[in-house]
Amino acid sequence: MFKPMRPVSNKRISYRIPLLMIAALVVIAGIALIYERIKPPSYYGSVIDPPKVMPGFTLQSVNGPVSLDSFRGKYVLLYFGYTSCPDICPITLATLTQALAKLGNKKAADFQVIFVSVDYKRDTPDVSNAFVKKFNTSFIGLSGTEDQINQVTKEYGIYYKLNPPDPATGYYSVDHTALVMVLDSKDELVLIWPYNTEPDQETSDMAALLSR
Amino acid sequence: MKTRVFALSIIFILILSACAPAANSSTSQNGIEIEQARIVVAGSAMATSAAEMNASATSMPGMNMNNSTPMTGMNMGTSSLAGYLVIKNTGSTDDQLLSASADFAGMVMLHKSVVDSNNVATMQDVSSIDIPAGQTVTLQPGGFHIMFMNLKSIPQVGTKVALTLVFQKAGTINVQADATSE
Repeated sequence: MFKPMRPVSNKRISYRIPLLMIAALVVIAGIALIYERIKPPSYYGSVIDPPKVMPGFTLQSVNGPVSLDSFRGKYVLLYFGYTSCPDICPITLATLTQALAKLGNKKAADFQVIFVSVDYKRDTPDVSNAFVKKFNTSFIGLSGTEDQINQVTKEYGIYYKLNPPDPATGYYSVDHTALVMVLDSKDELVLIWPYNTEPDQETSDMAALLSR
Repeated sequence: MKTRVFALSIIFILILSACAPAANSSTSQNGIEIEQARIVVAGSAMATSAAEMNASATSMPGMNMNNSTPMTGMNMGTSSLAGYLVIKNTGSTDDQLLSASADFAGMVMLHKSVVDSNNVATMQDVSSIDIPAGQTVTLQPGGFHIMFMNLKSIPQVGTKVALTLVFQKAGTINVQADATSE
């Protein structure tokens, strides 16, 4: 006799609903993942668009002259400061150290931190090198003559001024533009991190740069 | 389960609070309370004493280092140190921090770091730092700091150094500051 197999079909439906829900979740998660991949990356730093080709420079390191173009293929994180800087420069370098640590060794290898001292009177290549090595042994500290520093700061839009020395100690402070310039593998300026950018924000920006 | 988590977190908080006072010793005098005094000796845990550097350098392959040529390179970038602390004015009259001194520095100044809207960092000498009644003033990176110059020696990370602070109303206060790496 004809008897609808109600209980069986009910059982099927009761399996089907959770299965459909799981399938829907998988699809939604998939779309979200794809969107994450294809959406334009957002940056915490100021994006330079179109990227600005920066002039090369050759300055002195503790191991002899170093040119910007020797880092082609890597991102260069360029910062101008001075080693007698009590807090702004150390904060900036410590932030970069933390950001790179969070990024992980493998990805961090694609970034080279270069510190250029604008304090041509006090900061020899030895001093500049010793200063940055306190933060990270991979960082490079450079120095230059007054003429070299004047040229590179002019070309990179960096303001600096050596203040008059204190009569009692001879100590002087240096006013300087305090931002990290991110140059891509072709020496083009792509991003600027102003002072006070957080390590997490820099890590996020570096990850975004690598994924594009 | 919930009560266990609750009990564990209470224990955790108790442990934390038991540790806290030991880490931050405070000094109080005439309504001025000083906390968390520290002198930043280097930027990170990378900082090691010259002696430690020598020890590790001698064992590094390919490096010609012998003990007769002590390496002082680690401290070469250090011509000045910055000190930070928290000052609480628990009294009812305004006060001012006028000056500071320490044995290891020939010259000590009060400074303020400022980064303006054009991202230009400047350091300004300040003759005094106001500590208004009932308020807390924090000397911290990116703001006020005590600048130690003409260094006679560089404090070792992990040690304590004596600082003398002079206030307009509260007078001279001696504090122990931690030499820290950041």
